[in-house]
Amino acid sequence: MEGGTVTAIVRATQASLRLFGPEAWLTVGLLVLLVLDLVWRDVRKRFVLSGTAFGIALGAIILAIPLLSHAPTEIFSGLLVVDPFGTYLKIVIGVATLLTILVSVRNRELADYPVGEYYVLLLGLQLACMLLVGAVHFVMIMLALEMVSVSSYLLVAYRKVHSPSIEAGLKYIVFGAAATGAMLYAVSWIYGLTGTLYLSEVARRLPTMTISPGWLVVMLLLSAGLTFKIAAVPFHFWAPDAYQGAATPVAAFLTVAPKAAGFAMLVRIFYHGFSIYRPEAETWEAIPGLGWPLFLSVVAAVTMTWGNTVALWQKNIKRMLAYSSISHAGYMLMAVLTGTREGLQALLFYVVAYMVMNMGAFFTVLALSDVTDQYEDIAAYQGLAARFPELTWVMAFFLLSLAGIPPFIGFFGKFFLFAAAIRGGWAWLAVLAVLNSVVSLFYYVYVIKNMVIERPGEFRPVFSWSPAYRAVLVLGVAVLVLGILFSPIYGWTARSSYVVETFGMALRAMGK
Amino acid sequence: MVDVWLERILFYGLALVTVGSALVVTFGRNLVRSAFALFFTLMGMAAMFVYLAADFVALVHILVYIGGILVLILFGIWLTHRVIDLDIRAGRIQLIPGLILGLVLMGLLGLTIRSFNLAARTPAPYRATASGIGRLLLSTYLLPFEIASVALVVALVGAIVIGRRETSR
Repeated sequence: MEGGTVTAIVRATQASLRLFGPEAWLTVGLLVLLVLDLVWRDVRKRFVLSGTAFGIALGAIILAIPLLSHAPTEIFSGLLVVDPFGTYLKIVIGVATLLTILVSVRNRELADYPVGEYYVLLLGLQLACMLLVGAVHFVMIMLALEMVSVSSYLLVAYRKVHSPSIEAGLKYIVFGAAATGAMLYAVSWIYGLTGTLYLSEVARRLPTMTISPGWLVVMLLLSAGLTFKIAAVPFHFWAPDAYQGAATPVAAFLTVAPKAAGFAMLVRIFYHGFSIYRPEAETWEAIPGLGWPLFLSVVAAVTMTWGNTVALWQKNIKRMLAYSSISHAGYMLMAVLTGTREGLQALLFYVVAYMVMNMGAFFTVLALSDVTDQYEDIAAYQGLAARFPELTWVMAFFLLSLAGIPPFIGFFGKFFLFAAAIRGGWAWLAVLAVLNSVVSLFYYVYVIKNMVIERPGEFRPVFSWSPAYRAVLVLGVAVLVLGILFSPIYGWTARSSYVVETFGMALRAMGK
Repeated sequence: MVDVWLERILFYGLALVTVGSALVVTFGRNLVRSAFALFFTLMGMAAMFVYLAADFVALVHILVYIGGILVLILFGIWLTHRVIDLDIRAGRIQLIPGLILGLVLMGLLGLTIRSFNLAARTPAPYRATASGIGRLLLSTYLLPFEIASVALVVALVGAIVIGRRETSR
C-alpha cells in the first residue's frame, strides 16, 4: 500500500474518532475497570469498583450529549452513523446503565459473585448496544448484535450457583444461536442478491431489481434475529426464563437497553435498507414487493396479544413483567411499521417512558428483595401496603403507568403510539392495542389489589434507605412528573426523530 | 470436455459427502459418531469455499471449525460422564411440520437461485485473497476488526467467571 492511502486512512480514522467519543471512552473504561479489579484488594472493593463503573457510564452520557445536535454524519467508512436519533437512544441506554449500576451495589442476589467482572460485562453490554444503535452496515450490525447477545447470556448466567440462572442462560444461548444463525443466513442472501452490505446501497439497488420469491425467505430469516432481540413473538420464549433466572438488576437492564438497541436496528434496517424516503411527506415508503410493514403488523399484533394473554396467568412477578415487556415490544413495533416521522417520534418517546416505568417496576421488586425473602411470588405481596408504604405507592405508579393510565408517562407514551398508528393508516392495529391495554390493566391491578386491599395481619411500616430504595423513589417521582411535564422529552424526540434520508455520502466519496 | 466432467464428478462427490455426513450428524444415535461425521461436513464445506476461489476463508474455516470447535466438542464428550451411550435423537414430535417448512424453504431458495442465470457469467480469474482481506481489515473494516477484539475480551472475562471453580468468596 502506498504512503498516500495510509495517510488518508489515518486521517479518516482520526476524524471518525472525534464522533466516536462515548464508545471509545467506554472501551477504555472497561479495560481500566478490569485492571482495577486485579490490583484493588480490600474490603471497599465493591464500592470502589461500583463507583468507577458509575463514573465510566456517566462519562459516556456526558460525551454523548454534545453529539445530540450534531448533523448526521457517517464515520468509519460508512459503517456507523452518528445522528440525533442514535445519540438520543445512546443516552437512554446510558441512563439505564447508570440506574442498573446504582441498584447493583448492595444487591443481595449479586453479593456472592465477583464484582469487577460483573461491571465489565455490564459496560460491555452498554458498549455493544451503543454500537448497534449506530450501525448501518450489515457486518457492523451482526458484530454488535453478537456482542449484545454474548454479554447478555453471560449476565443472565452470572449467578452460576443458582441453578435457574444457569438454565435460563443456557436456554437464552440456544435460542440466540438459532436466531443469529438465521439472521446471518438472511444477510448472506441479501449480499448475494444485491451485492452490497451497506444499508443505503441496498436501498438504492433494490428498486432496480425484480423482487424474487427468495426475498420472502430473506425477510422471514431476517425477522428471526430481529424479533429475538426485541423479544417479540415468535422468538420471545427465552425472555420469561431469562428475566426470572437473571439477577433482578440484570433483568431490569435487559428489558430496556438491548430492546432499545434492537428497535434502533429495526429502524436502520427497514428504513434505510428497505425503504425509499419521501421528503415531502416525511415518510419512509417500503420498497414494493418486500411488504415489510404488513409483515411487521402481523408480528406486532400477535406479540402484544400473546404477551398480554400469557401475562394474565403468571404467579411470579418477574415472569409477569417479562410477558408484559413482550406485549410492550408489540406496541413499539406499531410505531416502527408506520414509516412516518411521527411514528419514529412516538417510538423515541415510548422508549423513555418504558425505561422509567419498567425499570421502576423491576427495581421495586429488587428493593423488596433487600428487605424480605418472598419477593417474587405475587401472592406474597398481600399486605405490602402496611409494611412498605413507600414501595407500594411507587409500585402502583409504575404498574398503572405500564397499563397506560393518566397522568403517568405511560399514558402519553401509548397515546403518541396509538395516534401515530392511526394517522399512519393502521387503525385496526391501534384498536387491537387499545383492547390489549384494557386486558393488561387486569393483571397490573391484580398486583396492586394484592398489595393494598389484602391485609393478612398487622404489620408495622418498615423503611430502609438502600440504594435500590433511592433509585425506586427517584423513578417513582419521574414517572409522575414526566407524565405531567412531558413536553421537554417530547421536544427532544421531535429533534431526534429525523433519520438521515440519504446515507452513503462516505460511500460515494470513496468511489465505490 | 474430460476435465469438465471430472470437475463435475468431483463437485457432486463432495456435495454428496457434505450433505450425507450432515444427515448422519442430525439423525445419528451416537454422539461420538455424530461428532466425527461433523468432521466430514466441515471438510466438505471447506472444499466448497475452495471451489468459490475463497482460499483464505477455506483455510480459516478448517482452522476454526475443525481445529477449534470440533476438537472442543470431542473434549466436551470426553469430559462429560455417561454422554457417550446416550440416545441423543430429538424425537420425531415435529417431523411433519419440520419437513414441510424445510421443503418450502428449499423450494423458495431454489426458485431464487434459478432466477440467476449463473451459466451466462464467466468466473473472474483466480487471485489469492489473503492480502486483499488484510488490507480491508486495516482500512474499511478497521472498526469491526477492533470491536471484535473488545467483544472477545468481554466474552473471555465472562466465560472465566462462569467456568472457574470458586475457591474463596
